[in-house]
Formats: sequence, C-alpha cells, structure tokens
Amino acid sequence: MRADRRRLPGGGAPALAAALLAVGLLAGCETMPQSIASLPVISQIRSSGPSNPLAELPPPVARTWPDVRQDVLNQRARGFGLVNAPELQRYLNGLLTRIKTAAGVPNWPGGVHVLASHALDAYATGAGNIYISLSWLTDMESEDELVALLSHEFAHIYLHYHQLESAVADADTVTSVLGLGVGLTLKTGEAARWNKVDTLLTTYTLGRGLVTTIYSQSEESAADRFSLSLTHKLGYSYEHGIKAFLERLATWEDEQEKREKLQQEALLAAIRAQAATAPPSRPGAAASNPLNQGIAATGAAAQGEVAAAASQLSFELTKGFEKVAGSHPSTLKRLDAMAETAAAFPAVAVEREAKQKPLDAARQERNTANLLRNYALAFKVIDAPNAPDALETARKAVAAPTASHAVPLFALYVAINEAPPAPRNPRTADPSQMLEANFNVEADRAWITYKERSSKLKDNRQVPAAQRVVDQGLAYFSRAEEAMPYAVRFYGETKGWDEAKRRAQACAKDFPRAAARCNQAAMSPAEQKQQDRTDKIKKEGLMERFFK
Amino acid sequence: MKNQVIAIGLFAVLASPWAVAQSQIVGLMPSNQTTLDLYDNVGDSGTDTRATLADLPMNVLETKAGHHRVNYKGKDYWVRGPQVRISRGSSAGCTTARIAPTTQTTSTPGAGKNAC
Repeated sequence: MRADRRRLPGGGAPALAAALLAVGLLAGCETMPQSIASLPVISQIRSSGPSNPLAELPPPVARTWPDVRQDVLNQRARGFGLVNAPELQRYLNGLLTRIKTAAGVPNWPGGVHVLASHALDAYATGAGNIYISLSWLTDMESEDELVALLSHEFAHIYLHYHQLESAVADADTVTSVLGLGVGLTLKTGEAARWNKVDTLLTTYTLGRGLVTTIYSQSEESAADRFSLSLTHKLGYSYEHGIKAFLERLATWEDEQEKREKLQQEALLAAIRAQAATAPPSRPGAAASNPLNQGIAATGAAAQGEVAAAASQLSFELTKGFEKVAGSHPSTLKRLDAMAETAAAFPAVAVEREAKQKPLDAARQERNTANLLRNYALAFKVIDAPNAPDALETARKAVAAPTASHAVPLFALYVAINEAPPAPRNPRTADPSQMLEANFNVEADRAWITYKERSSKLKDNRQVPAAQRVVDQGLAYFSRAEEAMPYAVRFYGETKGWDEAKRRAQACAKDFPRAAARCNQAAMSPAEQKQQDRTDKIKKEGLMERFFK
Repeated sequence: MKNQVIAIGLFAVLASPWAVAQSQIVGLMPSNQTTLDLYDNVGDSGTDTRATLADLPMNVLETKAGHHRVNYKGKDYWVRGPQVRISRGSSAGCTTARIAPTTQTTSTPGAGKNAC
C-alpha cells in the first residue's frame, strides 16, 4: 500500500471534486499557513480503485518521538485516567509487539494502555502509545477484532498522522500573531464590532477545518486499509477482525444517535409542557421590536413552541454539520470501502476461524476478571446513583484489585452523596475525602480525583486544605498539559486572577496545545462577562453584515 | 433554571445503558446491494433464493465457517458473512464521558467519532 494511493472515503467524482475544490481554495488562501497546506496528503489525493491490501506497506517516516512517559502521564489527567491492569496490559503489549514486527518496526517506542472509560473509545498519540477503553476489551468477541482495532490505531502512528497536530499548532500560532498584529492597527472602538481580525480568524478557522476534515477522513480510511493488511499478514480473519470491529462501532454510534434523539424529543416535550402550564407573559419592556412583541403576545404556549423549534433546529444543524465535517468518514462508508477491497482482493477475505481463546484467557485471568467485574459495577452505580442497591454495589466495586482506582472510588462517592443520611447517624465527614485513596498509589492516580477533592474543599471554605490537594496533585502532574486548565482556574479563584494569568502564561509556554484553554481559565468572572458581551455584539454585527 | 433541572432529570432517566441485543443482520454489504443470497448449506456455490432489504433485520441463529444461519419465511438458510452487516451489541455507555468529558486533540480522534 503506497501513500500516494490513498483515496478519499466514499470515493467517486463528487467527493474528489469537493476535495479538489477545497485544495484549490486553500492553495489560493493567503490566510492558510504553509505548514498545513503542504501536508503530504493534500497533494496526494486522487481517485483510484481499492488499493491492494496485500502489497508492501509504505516505508515508515522518520520522526522525533515525544516522551512516552510524559504522554502516559498526560492521559492520566484526561477523563478518569487509565486503568492499572498489569496482566491485561501484558497481553495487549504482546499483540502490539507482533503488529510492530509485522510492520517492520519492532523497536518503535510506545505501548498499549487501558482507558478508564465506559465509552467505546480508542486512540493513538504521536508518542507511539495506544489507548483503548475498558468497554472495547469487554465487548470484543475475538482476538481478531482486537488486533484489527490495535492495528488501526497503530496505522495512525506508522503513517505519521500526528504531523497534522504540529502543523495545526504552528498554523494557529502564526495566525494568532498575525491577528494580533492586525488588531493593534485597529482603533479601540472597533474591538467590540466585527473587524478585520475577526474576518481573518474566521477565514483561517474555516479553511483549517476544511483541511483537517479532508486530511483526517483520508487518514482514517488509510488506517483501515493498513489494519486489513496487517491483520491478514498476522493470520487473522477479515470477517471476525476489521469487519466485526467496524460493525460494533457502527452499532454503538447508531445507538448513541438514537439515544440523543430520544433525549432531544423528551426535552422538546418538557419545554412545551412547561410553557403550557406557565402563566401567559405580558408584552414587556424587553419586547422592543415587532417580532418579539408578536411572540410575547401569543402567550407562553407559543413561546414554548418557538423555544422547542429553536432547540430542534439547533440539534439538527449540529448533527448535520457533524456528518459533513466530522473527522471520520461515516462508519458505513468505511465498511463499504472494506467490502469493496475484500471483493477486489478475495485472498484478504479468505475464511479464517476466529481466535477467541487467547482473548477469553486474558479476560479470565484472576486479577483481570476481578477488575472487569468491579468496573462494571462502578459504571452501573455512576449511571444510576439513585438505585436502591447503589451504595452496596459501589462498596463491592471498591475492593481488590480496584480499591484505589478512580472510577470505583468515584462510584462510591456519588452513591454516598445520593444516599439519604441515616436519621440517627447524620453525615459528618465530607465524602470526597475517600477520593484521597487514589492519591496514594502512583499507578492508579488520576487527576480527576484531585480536582473533585480540591473543589469540594474549596466549596466548603477549606481553601488552605484545597490548595494542599492541588499542590500535591501538581507535584505529580506538573508535566501533564491536561491538568493545567483546572489548576489555572483554581489558583485564580483562590489566589487571585493575576496569579491565574501568570500560570496561564507558563502553561502556554510549556504546553502550546493547551494555551487557549489555559488563557480561557485565567479569565476572571468580570472578564468572562465582558467577553460574552463582546462576543454577542460581534455575532449581532455579523448578522447585520449579512442579513440587513 | 427550571428548564435545566427538567433537562438533567430527563437525561438521567434516558441515559441508562442500552440492552445488549441479539446479533442481527441489519444491512447488506456493500450497502448498495439490494438482494441477499440464501443458501441451503454452508459452502453451497449457487442459489435461486434471495431476500431483499425489506426482509431485514434478520436474527442470527448460528455462525459457522464464515456463514450465518437465519430463518427466512419459516425455513432456515445460510448467508455469507462478508455479504451482510451485523449489529453487534455493546455494554458501553456515556457514563464517564458525561462526568469527565475529554477534548479530542486534532490528531487523536480515535477509532471512530466521539459518539458521546
């Protein structure tokens, strides 16, 4: 599989035309920094049939590897962090070693880590690490499916997908500096109105979004083909491997979309019901234009309909935009692309029995089995902390080998919070104290426990104790960019916003990727309010510009 | 504020995990196909019996040697695995993602889109 054979997901003339149009637009777009426009895939997109999955892999690209351990530390600061599952990881790393060897790069850095996430989640980082959620490991039916997923993620590393990230970071920096330069030449009075800086940044952002969409979607398809190639080479089945992996993903995405739709419908019904029972509103001072006056005059029920319609429209627009501009081609398209490849190269889809026993053995290993059981209990509790047996279930989850893991501790914490205190035994201790069990075991540490504990102490006006918790957490997570935005905000709230800004500057210097989030976190409530007002005025200005 | 409370309450009610369904054939592959070949036995090379999209979904009764056994109009047949899309169950949910949402970086979008 050669790099220049990559084609757009979905293929065909319309997709190619769209891609070429986008590339053409970008080539002539002066606001698009060269670092993005020169990414290899942008100049290599062309239409072709399915590429041969049995051909040689493209040669690996030389690169400088980021620090593997710092990368792992950073993932501990995301979400609920990682699951310390040594036996399971040994099995997963054995599979990754075979994948690397089959790809001809046995000595590349990186390993497999388990995400403490209930979702079907998996990703790879530029450091060479692969992160896969516990739910994938629970749900997969065979080693074939697991190796297909790991190979897909490894493909992102092998194909050097992460060069996009550094290109985008460079481009963002260039653009923000450029924007600042233009901004300084403008009169202060224009700051709140739609101005040249806004035009520049919007043009850039739209262009960047287009490039990253094309790049990401083509890379996803390339990663699928790479996965098919490697899994075949390693003796795994197409049917039970990549096809099963994509089918599970498609089912999960379908179910989540149905769930979202149900929630949306329920929300609409609630808005209507609430409006129906509310007293009719009187046309007030706020109804300053004919449209608002008209709406106000029709009463609360009509307002409910308007609110419901606006909510529905926003939902549909969001979903529509995700479909067009998502980083992934639709999973059905990916499945189709695999089916076309399998039809064009039948040898790759030859029937092979699924390898179930090794995966089953890994899941049934005593420690791993206990860990999977405890996490399943914990997810159940967090999902329904009001259930009558939630507290009892949570206590079972906080047992060896997961007694100091963040997810089970959090489950117990939320169950205690939800449980009514016994009448003769009022609750005296702060339940968040139990989260400190997570601080004591390095392999289990997750930033979320420090965040929650310090936040509760702060809310209870125990600021020095809260600061000790954050300081203690930062002593371990000082090189984790994901920890910084909360730390900046926390110090703003407890030590003042000058301190927050000082920390945000340090954050931007050390972790350019987190700069925007740190700067946002360093804004005082008054500054935030002012920014919201300015944003509103700019949005109104934009509307005027296009619709008056 | 009241709207928010209602929304959160509804979210909690609706957010319970989905039941893991039995495997079903939910589509044809590639998806532009409109008929599905049904075989009397695993490994048969030809057939005159075909189902259409309107006959889906079909429950998978058994899986063997790259084929799935299904019941069509009261009789059992076999279909070839690569020709169908299977709905595969999952115990996953958005529990942790709701409490601790994570931001995807540009280059780590994962195996699929963020469904939560």
